[in-house]
Amino acid sequence: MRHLSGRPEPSCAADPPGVTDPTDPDEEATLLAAFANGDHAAAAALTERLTPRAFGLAYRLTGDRAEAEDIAQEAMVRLWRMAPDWEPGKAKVSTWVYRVVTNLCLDHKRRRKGRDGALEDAPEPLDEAPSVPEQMQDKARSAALQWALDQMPDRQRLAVVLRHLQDLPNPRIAEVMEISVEAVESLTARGKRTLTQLLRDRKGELGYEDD
Amino acid sequence: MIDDDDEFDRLVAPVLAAARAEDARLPEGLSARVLADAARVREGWQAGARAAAPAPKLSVWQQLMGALGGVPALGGMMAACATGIWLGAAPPQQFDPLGYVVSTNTVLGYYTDMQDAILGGEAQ
Repeated sequence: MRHLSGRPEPSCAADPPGVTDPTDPDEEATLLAAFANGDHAAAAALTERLTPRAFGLAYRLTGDRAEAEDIAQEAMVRLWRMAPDWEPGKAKVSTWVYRVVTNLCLDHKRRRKGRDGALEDAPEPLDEAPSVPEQMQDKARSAALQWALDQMPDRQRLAVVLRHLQDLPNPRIAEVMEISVEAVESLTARGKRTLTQLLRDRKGELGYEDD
Repeated sequence: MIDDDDEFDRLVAPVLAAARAEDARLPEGLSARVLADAARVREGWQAGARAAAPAPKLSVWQQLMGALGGVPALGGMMAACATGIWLGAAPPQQFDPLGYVVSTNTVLGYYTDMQDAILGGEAQ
């Protein structure tokens, strides 16, 4: 992933109205310090907060639940190991975890590309079954989204996942991606358009035939 | 752009909502494995701290005990001493301490006579 220069400037104006940071960086840092001092309950609280985020991001970046599981576990192990050396003012815990997950996913993608060669470039087709049972609608939509995300450029995909699946505000996305807030706005806007275009042709498969 | 946003809301937003619901379901056992990793990492720190801790300062008595071989060796020594005292205070009947002294004096006298013979009484 190419990094743009410049540190993000915190700016609430960069986010649409109603977007709040779902993470609590101060509390996460407190919990990590407590874990470093031997508090197992703090480890449980951090696991509950951060593992679903790590797993969700890894799954949407790799498209592979088993691989995402390994990546989430590895990211959390790295967090535990570095807990005694954590410097509270330097970075936010969840931001750090997102970065580790992103890097592990990129490593995974490089390895898979080397292994699979040209096959990797071929998009995974959706099931061509004419109708999807009602109870499977959510699963079909999730699979369609994964297919669409796999077609997107890496940085657009990461920005879209962080914005629309992890619900992070733009300044936090800028921290994770180490780019400016303006660059995040541009990426998410393009990502929205790309996603809409990709899913437009699959309305029928997604249960939107009557729209 | 407004049309794009509208289409995004109608078409993509429900897909994103379904994906969020799916992503929220963690694989079975993942949280437990993450917590087990945390416990292992913490045990590693504790083991490292124990290994790095300085040796405790020992008192003179503790050092002496260590030099003698500890409590088991001291026990053996005390048993040997007690046996010696008991043998001295209440010797078995077959053992004649007076005879031992007499026979020792006889041997000493023999050596004194030999010395006189060799030196011609100069030693006296």
